[in-house]
Amino acid sequence: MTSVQFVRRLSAAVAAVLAGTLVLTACSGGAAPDAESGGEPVSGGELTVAVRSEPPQLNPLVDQTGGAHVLSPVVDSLVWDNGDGTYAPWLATEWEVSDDATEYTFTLREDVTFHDGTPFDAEAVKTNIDYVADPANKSTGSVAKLGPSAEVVDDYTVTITLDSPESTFLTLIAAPYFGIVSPVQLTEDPDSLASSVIGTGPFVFDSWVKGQSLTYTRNDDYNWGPEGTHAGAAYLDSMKYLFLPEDQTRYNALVTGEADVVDYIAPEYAEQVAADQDHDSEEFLLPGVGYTLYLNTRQAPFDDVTVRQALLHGLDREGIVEAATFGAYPVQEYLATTTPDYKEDLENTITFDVDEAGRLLDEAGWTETDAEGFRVKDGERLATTIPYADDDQLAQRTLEQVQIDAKALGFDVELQPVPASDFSQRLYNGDYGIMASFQSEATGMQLWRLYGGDNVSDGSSIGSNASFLADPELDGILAKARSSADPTQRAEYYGQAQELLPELAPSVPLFSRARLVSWQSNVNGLSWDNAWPQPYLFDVWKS
Amino acid sequence: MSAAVWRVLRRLGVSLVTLLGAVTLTFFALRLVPGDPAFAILGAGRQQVDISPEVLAVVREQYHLDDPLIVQFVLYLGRLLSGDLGTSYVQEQPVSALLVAQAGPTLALALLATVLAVVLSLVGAVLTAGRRLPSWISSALELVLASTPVFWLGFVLMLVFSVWLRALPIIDGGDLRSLVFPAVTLALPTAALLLQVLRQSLDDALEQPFVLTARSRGLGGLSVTVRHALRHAAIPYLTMLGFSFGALLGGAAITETLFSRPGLGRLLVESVASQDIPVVIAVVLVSTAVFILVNTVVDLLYPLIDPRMRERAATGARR
Amino acid sequence: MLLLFVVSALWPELLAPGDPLAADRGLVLAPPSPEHPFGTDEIGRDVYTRVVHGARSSLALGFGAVLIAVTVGTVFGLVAGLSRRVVSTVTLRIADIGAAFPELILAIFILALFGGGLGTATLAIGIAGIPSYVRVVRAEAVKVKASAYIEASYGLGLAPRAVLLRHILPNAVRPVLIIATIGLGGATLAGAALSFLGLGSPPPTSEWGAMLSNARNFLTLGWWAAVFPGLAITVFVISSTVIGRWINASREGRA
Repeated sequence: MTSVQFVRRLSAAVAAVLAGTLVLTACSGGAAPDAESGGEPVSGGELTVAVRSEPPQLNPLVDQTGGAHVLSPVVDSLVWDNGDGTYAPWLATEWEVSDDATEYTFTLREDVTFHDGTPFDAEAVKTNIDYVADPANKSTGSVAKLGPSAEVVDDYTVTITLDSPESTFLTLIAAPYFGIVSPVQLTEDPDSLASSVIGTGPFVFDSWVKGQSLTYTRNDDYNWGPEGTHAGAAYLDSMKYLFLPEDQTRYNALVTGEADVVDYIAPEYAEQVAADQDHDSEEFLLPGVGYTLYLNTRQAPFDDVTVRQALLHGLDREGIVEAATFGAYPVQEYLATTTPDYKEDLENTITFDVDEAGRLLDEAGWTETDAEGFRVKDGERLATTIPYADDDQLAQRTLEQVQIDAKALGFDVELQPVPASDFSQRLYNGDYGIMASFQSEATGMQLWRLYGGDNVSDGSSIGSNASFLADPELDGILAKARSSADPTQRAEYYGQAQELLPELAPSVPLFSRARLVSWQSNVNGLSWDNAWPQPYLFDVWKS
Repeated sequence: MSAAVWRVLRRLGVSLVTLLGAVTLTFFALRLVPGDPAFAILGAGRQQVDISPEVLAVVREQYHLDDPLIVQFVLYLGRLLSGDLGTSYVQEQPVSALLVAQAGPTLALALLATVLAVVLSLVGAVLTAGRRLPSWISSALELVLASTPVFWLGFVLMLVFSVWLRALPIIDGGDLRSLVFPAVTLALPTAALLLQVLRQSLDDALEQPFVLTARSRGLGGLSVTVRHALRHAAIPYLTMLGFSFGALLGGAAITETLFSRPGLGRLLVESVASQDIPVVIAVVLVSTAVFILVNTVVDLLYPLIDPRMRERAATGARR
Repeated sequence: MLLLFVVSALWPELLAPGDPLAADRGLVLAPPSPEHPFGTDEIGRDVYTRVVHGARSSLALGFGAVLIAVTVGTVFGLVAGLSRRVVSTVTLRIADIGAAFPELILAIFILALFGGGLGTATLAIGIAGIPSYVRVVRAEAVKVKASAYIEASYGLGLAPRAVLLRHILPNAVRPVLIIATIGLGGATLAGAALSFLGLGSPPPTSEWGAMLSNARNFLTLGWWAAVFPGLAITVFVISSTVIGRWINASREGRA
């Protein structure tokens, strides 16, 4: 594990961030500055982790919209993502990738058993792949989208073949939403995945009180943690996830000591947590496309690239993000700086220039002004709507700031609070002017999912490309990136895409989300799972 | 069959019809909500998720979403009669199992809140009715409590008692201590409302001739209030209490969300947001059934309390 | 006090000349100062100006909802209480089906159907309130009808309509007025609750419930952003209730 991803630390302990060292041990607060602050790990105790969202069901293979993160203690993945484009062995000891990035052959560990006693082998992996590939199981994750099929080569060797090349496949399967589930549960009792899950992980599912908590107990037989973690079973006797969706309540649980670890501290508390001497904290800048405004290029006024560029340059992104996130989240370009294929020396960056934006709008013909100060062309006001989830306060604050800047440009932006479940429907129908969403995935492949011409909703399917962009040049670059098994070459192509996107202006990227985790000072050994960045709790112990 | 039994049966029958009406209304109303339930079933929410035509087709087939609305309704009613509440779209579990798991916490919360509200309002009213200063102080307090948004009250309570004073836990540990906050939050506005109605009726009653008669027979102030006036005030009070129970069920949605407690209210709010129709209908069905039951009991109690209504009820039943 | 609210609702410029939408990005959650007497909110807008301008939407919601509920509720309540058995039963059943839903839950449904917003929220709270008025009016009407003096009025040969207008309506309406005054507050509070669930008026409209709801996460960072709209709600609800009681008392005095 490296600390390259940690762009910002909360405390003065910035010096502790050195590439290649074990991170996330001592951080802010009064803890000792050396890496092994709490002394020798001791076994025992229960860890209480307060998280924001509760999974609707416990099947990691079905979707990746936010619930599966609490399943990571129970399920293991084939490989561990180091976060820098390289991978470490986990359930697979080695692997081979075909040159066109369509065939992945894994050699598996032979000493692994599921919690139900079933041995882990090539057949088990195949069962998991088959399950995801079968439309009847309604898997909507990234792995399912690639059309995978598996072939058992021998007892401990399996080959996974993809319909289309995907050079970042290893990252996708390293995430907990492709955690390996017991083949017995998958084939004999798949319905039970709604309320329990059997994996190979360091913890065993114990109980789930809906709306309240999820409890795991230690798997004493565990001895197959990913490379770089400790040998043997977990230190903790048990773990309890508490589901506290209210930001204030979750933060209060940290202050009162009712939770040992609190995940997703809201940005408004970032400063307080940093100043707080009683708790340690760490933040991880989530990779991927971040929080972005997707402009619907199928509709006026965003069918005109000049208008899109005007908005891209006319919004004071720094000011908007600073105000909406209380300075806790950084502005980003089309990819977060922590994404493996992010281009460091980006030439084509987005600049804030109101005059240029005004000139572009004039050029596009929006020259007249109405009584309220909005621009008009042919009697039509320059206007658009942004639906947003009615329970998302950060989105509301951000969009209200966007609204203010847009008004200064003469652009009438209407905010429309809608239920969260409304989004897919709108995406399906293209029923919005701007779609604002946050998405995180630790691969450049997200650019293809979100801007690739083949991911547009077409009446029979739903695609992630909320801008409805279909640009042949970009599509060509993305296709080459996806079929480049060589990481350097892949990064080169994704770099080209990042240079091209500001020209096409299909969207306005705003901020990367810093996932802020804070814990009581007697909690040690917390680290990060990079494939889908979240706290990794296997090494955690309480002193 | 005696008139009383006949009356009770008839009232129960009416309640059943009401319940059926509520189910029908809910089912069709929710189907009119913009948004295709297929998306809810696929768990696709605030993120852009790719869904292939094959998966969409599977879902529509599996949940009979392509059938006409009326066919879906008949299928639903049929299953309902056999006690099957369907399967949750999002949680992929039998709805009945979800309800059973969530009913307990809400029931405990609602009952404790009701008891608190009743005790507070009775004690408050008896002690203050007919007395100028205590009445004034009490009504000022009621006003403030009844005039404050529930979630705001809850936040302030939480901040003061948990974060500053560390007297009570924030997180539901399943014990009585963690029930105190939500129950108090829920009970206070209801208690204030009940107290207002009750004192108003008591004050009216204390001016009635029969109270004056009682006084002239030498009965003291408090015992007059308790023995005579309270009985007179019972009907508006009970009516209000019946309603308040509905307000409590609605308030549970807010309180449970606020305090991150499990329960039917939170389940409902989450299910409405995620369009989990079978769960929404089931929660509405259950809370509606409970509400109907409470009000049926209140209705049946009227003649027992107010003799003037007894005769009418009897003649009404015979017709 | 209520007058102050009415002035705020009708001519907010008199009390707060500023623009309720004007924001200063450098002044997010700034504490109260001479320039911003109530501080600024999480967007950097002046809380005082927004509270004053918020009176319009908040009052419109409260009054609108109660008007809908009382009018429709009283008519149905009298019908249910006084007319012949069949009509009475049918009316009461319909009201009962409506009343079978807890009010707030019904309001959430209606908003789920028509979408959030100030107008639909008013309608939803109003409709959700109807059944309770039907019940109360009916209960009172039945009680009054059964009482001796009504029998006596009929005995004296008064026409049913006259009995209805002169005796039953005033008697049945009295408790409704008590509840309606509280109901005005209740409707305002329900609006705040809907805002808490994200179903109230869309941003950037200044409306007390929405302001309070948005500021709830900043209690420890900037209490002023939540406290002043919260106070506005509480004070408004209190003053409307007091006025309602006063009207009620003076009417009783005349009777």
